[in-house]
Amino acid sequence: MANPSRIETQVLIIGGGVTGTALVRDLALRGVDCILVEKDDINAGASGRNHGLLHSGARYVAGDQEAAVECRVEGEILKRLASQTIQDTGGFFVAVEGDDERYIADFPSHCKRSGILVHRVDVAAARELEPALSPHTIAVFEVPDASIDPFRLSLESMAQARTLGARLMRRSRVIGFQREGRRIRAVQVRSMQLGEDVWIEAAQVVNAAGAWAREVALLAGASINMTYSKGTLLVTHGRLAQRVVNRLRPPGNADIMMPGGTVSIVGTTSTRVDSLDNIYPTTAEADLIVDEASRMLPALQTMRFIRAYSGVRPLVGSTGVADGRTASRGFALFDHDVDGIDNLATITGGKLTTCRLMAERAADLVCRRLGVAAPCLTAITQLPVAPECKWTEPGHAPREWMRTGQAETLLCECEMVSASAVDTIYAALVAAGDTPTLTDIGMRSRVGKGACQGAFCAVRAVAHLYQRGDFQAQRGLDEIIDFFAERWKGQHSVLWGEQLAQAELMEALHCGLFGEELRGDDMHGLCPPALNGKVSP
Amino acid sequence: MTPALFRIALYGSLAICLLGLLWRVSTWFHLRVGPDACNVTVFQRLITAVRGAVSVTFSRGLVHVLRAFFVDVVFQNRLFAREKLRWLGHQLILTGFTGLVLVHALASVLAGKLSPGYQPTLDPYMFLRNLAGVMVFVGIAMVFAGRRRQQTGFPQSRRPIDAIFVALLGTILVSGFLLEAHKIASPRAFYRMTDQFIGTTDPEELKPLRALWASEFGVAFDDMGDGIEPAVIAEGRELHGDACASCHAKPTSAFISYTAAKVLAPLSGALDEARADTWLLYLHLFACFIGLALLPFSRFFHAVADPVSLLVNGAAREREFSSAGRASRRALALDACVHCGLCDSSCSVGPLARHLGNPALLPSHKIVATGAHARRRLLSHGIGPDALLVSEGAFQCTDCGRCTTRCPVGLDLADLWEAGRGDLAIAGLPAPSQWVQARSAFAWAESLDSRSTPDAPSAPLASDRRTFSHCVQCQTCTNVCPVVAHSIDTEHGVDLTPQKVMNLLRLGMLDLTLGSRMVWDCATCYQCQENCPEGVRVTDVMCELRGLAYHRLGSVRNPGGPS
Amino acid sequence: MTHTRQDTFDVAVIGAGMAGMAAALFAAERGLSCIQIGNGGGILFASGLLDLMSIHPLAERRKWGFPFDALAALALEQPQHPLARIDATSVRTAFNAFVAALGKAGLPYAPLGKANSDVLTSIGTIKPTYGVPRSMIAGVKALAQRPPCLFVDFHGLREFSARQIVSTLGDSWPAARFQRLQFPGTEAVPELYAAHLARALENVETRARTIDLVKPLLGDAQAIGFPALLGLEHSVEVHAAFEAGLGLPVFEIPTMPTSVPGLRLLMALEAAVATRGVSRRHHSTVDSIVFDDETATIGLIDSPGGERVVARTVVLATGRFMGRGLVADRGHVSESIIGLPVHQPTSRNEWHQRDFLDPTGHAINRAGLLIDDSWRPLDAAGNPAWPHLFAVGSILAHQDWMRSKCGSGLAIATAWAAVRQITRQLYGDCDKAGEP
Repeated sequence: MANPSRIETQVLIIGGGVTGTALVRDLALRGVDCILVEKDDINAGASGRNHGLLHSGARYVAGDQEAAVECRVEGEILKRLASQTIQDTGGFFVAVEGDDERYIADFPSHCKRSGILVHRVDVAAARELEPALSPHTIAVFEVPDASIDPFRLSLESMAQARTLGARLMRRSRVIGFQREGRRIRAVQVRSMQLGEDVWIEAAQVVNAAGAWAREVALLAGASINMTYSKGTLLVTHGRLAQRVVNRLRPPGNADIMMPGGTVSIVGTTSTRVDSLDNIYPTTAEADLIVDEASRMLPALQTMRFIRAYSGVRPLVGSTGVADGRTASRGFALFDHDVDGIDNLATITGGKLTTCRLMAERAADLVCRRLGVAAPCLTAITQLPVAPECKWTEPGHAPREWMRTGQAETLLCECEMVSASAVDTIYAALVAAGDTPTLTDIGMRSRVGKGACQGAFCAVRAVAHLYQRGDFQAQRGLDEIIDFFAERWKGQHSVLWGEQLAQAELMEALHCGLFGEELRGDDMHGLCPPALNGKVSP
Repeated sequence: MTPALFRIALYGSLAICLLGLLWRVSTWFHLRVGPDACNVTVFQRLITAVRGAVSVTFSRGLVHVLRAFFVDVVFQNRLFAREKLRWLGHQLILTGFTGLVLVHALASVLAGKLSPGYQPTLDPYMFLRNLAGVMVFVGIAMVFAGRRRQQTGFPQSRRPIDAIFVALLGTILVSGFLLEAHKIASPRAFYRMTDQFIGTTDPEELKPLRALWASEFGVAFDDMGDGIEPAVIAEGRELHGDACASCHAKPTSAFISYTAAKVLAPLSGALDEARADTWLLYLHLFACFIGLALLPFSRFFHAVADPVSLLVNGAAREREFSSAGRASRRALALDACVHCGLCDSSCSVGPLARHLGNPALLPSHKIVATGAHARRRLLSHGIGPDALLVSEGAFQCTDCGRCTTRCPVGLDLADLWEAGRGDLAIAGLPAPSQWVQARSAFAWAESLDSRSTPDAPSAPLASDRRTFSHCVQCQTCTNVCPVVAHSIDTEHGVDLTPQKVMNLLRLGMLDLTLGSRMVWDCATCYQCQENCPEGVRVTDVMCELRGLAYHRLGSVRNPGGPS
Repeated sequence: MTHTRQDTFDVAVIGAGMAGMAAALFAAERGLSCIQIGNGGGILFASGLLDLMSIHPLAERRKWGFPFDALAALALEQPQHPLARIDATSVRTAFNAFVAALGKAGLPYAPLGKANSDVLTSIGTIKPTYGVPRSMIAGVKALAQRPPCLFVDFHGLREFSARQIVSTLGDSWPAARFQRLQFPGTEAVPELYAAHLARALENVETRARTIDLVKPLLGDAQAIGFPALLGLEHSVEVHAAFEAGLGLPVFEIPTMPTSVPGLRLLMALEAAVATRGVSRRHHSTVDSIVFDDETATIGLIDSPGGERVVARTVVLATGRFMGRGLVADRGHVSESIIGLPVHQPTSRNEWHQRDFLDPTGHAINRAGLLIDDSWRPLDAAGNPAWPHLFAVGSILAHQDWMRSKCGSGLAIATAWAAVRQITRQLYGDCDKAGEP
């Protein structure tokens, strides 16, 4: 690292979540040259660990009218311009016996105040439409909620930005800032894969690191008042409802169930955490979600869950609040003037639904500072479909495979992902100068997301990549182990019932037969009888 | 009744019966079931039958035929092995009916000749007649009860003529008993006899005899008080011994008729007035004649066809039939079916029939439809909804062979179904697997996109998440599937493996499975289901998908079709 | 030996996995009348390798070359482990009997020695095991000596890449080569399944065509490795034909489930118990068991007419979660048929490690039934739940067969020991057949 290379750009964006990728697209559309650095992968933080709910705004009508209106407006824009990432499922707000009568009574008028279309649905009719609803349902309202695929949104935003000249550096962590008076002269970025550093010299730096925004700001010598709220969600083995199902009450634990294509996603919890390390779902959180959400959807008590995941919400501008839910979910844009830095901005907080707006605000600030007059185009420009980004959509892979006449092998049976889908993703990553891993492929497709959680498909995908010559030596085995390590974080909290049998099969296969837990112990130096244990019979 | 009228009626009905029998038997040689039946002529079929009969008669095969006669026909071994109650009913009917015919209907011809002292009013004939009547009655009741026990959820297919035949049978039995009861109780009959054999009808003169007959023979005189002295009865017994005893036993052995006579006693005067003996006799005889004439046309013709079928089976044993032989055997099977419904209760797709609401899946309905098609009645107005239901029934069959194994009269139903399917295919109703596989599963799903088929059956297994919740994705279903194994070296392998079908359903993409070759090529061998370590009902789901696909794809292919 | 429904069997074995099959086999060999209930689907997950014991203690990942030495160490350090309750002679006898029965049923194994063998797996890792099918034994030798070797696979076999094996072995086996072939006649099919190819190779012509495809590729190879698909029922014949046709040692490499060696094991075991007169109800599941002083009455469902089976002893070989002998809800693990108490961690939070490959293994895998010295599961008070009820195989507590690599050993040895105990209990201290 004696002579780190230096790269120049107009704007450096730190963080590849929904905000960072929306921002890089926004700036690229305005003709600004950008680099996005991401310490892990696209949407590796909270952007990829949420419900995937495109809020109609109805959830915020009682507490935060401004947020409700923002959601409504932004939701309509995304439905119009990024329709490929959205399933317009509609949503129900459902109250069960014992829920606050006044909240229920006020709900329609609150919605109307925020301009949100709402209508009351007869309980019997609603249960006809969504048979999973509890027999103790007392009120149902329909709102224009929808489901959105945040991975596809971010991947396609990034893909378009790339075609406009923006660069993405994945697995690249910001480790230092070089200041020059009130300006950041360069940002030191370390490649996690290669261990090499580069200095990026940018006129403007935007910190869009989400929950990690405070750490990044501190590195730059700025400070942000921020708290963390951990939220956990569970993924079911099959889809339980066609619509978004919200609990009609003030926001609380496990009050949303999303249709996630072929599965349902239930959550969330909200726990104040102080550290961003060791974030994984706990058994207590899983139990809380099942017990609480099953009041609305009793079938969840017997449902098979295949996975859980936890994300950390960055909550800005509040301290000392125990429950993160009451803190603002609105976003914050800091220009860091008070910290004595002229070319750094931080954009954090906010919601998936409003990511475009957050990017627009941040881009406006950056462009003002750069003296770029080009207007924001993201509110009027279609998000182009990128062929390599379609595979995150549940059900797309099997439909595509059936359409093309089943002429090739599937690598993943649970979610029916074909070899060519994996090839497409792999090729796109290679074309961008990356070295794709199995985990990267999993993030960009449904590989490993189905019932087997990778037990079978990881083996097939690795065999396929070895066969193509993409993997060499021990790499494929390392990748299987990394992949499982990542998948396992989301598994152990939901291992009961059928999924426990599934996990047992996975262990029987990968430990019992393949002995992967013994790797690292000189796997290929055989154990001759002479090296036997010391106990003699 | 005048002898002339009696003769005309008797010979008339006998002639109709014989002609009917001839016609029915002739259908065994000219009805065509199965495409291969079109390749043989009536003559070939006749020759084959005759040659077969002759060669069996003069060979060791005769032993098998005789064995079949006693074991299968007389003892009804196959029914005995399966349904004891029904077997008992059948044996009662058979024995009772034979008894009635021999010792009653043909009494003047047979019993009169064999036993010179024969009189219908003597024992054991009087007793046997009652017993036989009761046996038939009880037998019929048992068969009906047995049938009611195995409900399939659908009414049995019935023709009016069969109901009429049963009604006639009842009429014969009831009128017979009533006639005998009336004769026992009737004073008029008493006087007619004394007039003929003693030469007087004077009540005073006949007082002792009347006293005896009133107290011991059940005649209901309206002028006989209670206080009859024993001496008078003794005198009457003497007279009786001289004039009556050679022809009349005490009627108490006619245990049914005598009981009925006691019940009818108060009415006997009125019945005498009304000439009940005459019209009961007319009723009884005409019911017999009409029954005789109708027998070949009702399904009770099986009483003739069955033994023939069983004897043919016995003669053939394990031997292969020639196509001429097969053709005749199928036509014979149409007549030999007892419509007992044992096949229905063992049918593999019985539950599916109830689920689809289509009785045409059940063997007992299929055999009727096969017969109708052979007689050109099924498609006489082109391919209508009924024909489509029949076609569904024909092609939902899994060829499991249980109906054939269970059939109490040993019909080779599996062969009949295969032949029937061939006929339907020729008539423009080919196996759905043929027309379904003309398009890809994806193309079918696309054409279904804009359509809803509200009447299509639901898919309770395929649409229930719990069906798949145990699946651990181990691929056992695919590895043990003979259809996938068979397709590895064929041009058109299966498009989806069983595991993929299950996964598409779990993913909620049911439409993509309906037109898949896997679903339609599935041999329903149940290997996948039986070997699944987690108990997923793979084959049951496949069957359900076929039922659903038949309706939903059928409605796209053939608007206004099934559903 | 046939039994009508009213017969009282000496033994009813519930479960037809490896342990259930072994128990039925051993019971029949000892002359006990036996009925077995349940399908053998679990055996399909087997690799064909019969592990006895290789890794102990888990946390140290210490690998043992001699399994009986490992067992001796286990007996000292973990006396509660089911395999620590059986003496080495019995284990050896049980293994020999089991392997002999498989050999008779057409699935021969290499002679059992003292040492474990290292076997190459389909992903390129090396697995220590004890009983090696004869079709795989040439691979053990090749792996030890690393001569020039050709690894062959086929287009469409998704879980198997010869190139992966060769690449993973890398410099440790420089003389290894790989070649992917088109299986004869399968050009039109993108995906193939090992079981179907195995069956296809039983056809003499297909086999000859396959051998002809491989022949020109031999070069300097001194051994040839194939994915495990050389025949199903007639694997001996197919393997011999390959060796004869190619003139070299040919070995199979164990593959993922559902594997051909698993299918072979299932078929061989089914044949073995059938020829020994074991009655089977493999489509039935147990609905209820009623115990009285002398007999157990087992109610079956999925059996025509809801059959009842009466037996003097019952062997519970229902397996763990995959076999559904154990079932877990969010709070507890329970035994699925009788409701026996299950030894288990106090809460679900402790069931699994945070790291999937944590060397100590997951606590849930050591949960299971506690037993007395006679293999009888204990009730809540610590007494035998019923004097004639026995438990064998992976349902037993205090073992982690997946990590110790002792799955088959656990099944075979515990089945053998429990059946010996049953024979003693029913017929005194000798076999019913009169053998000592």
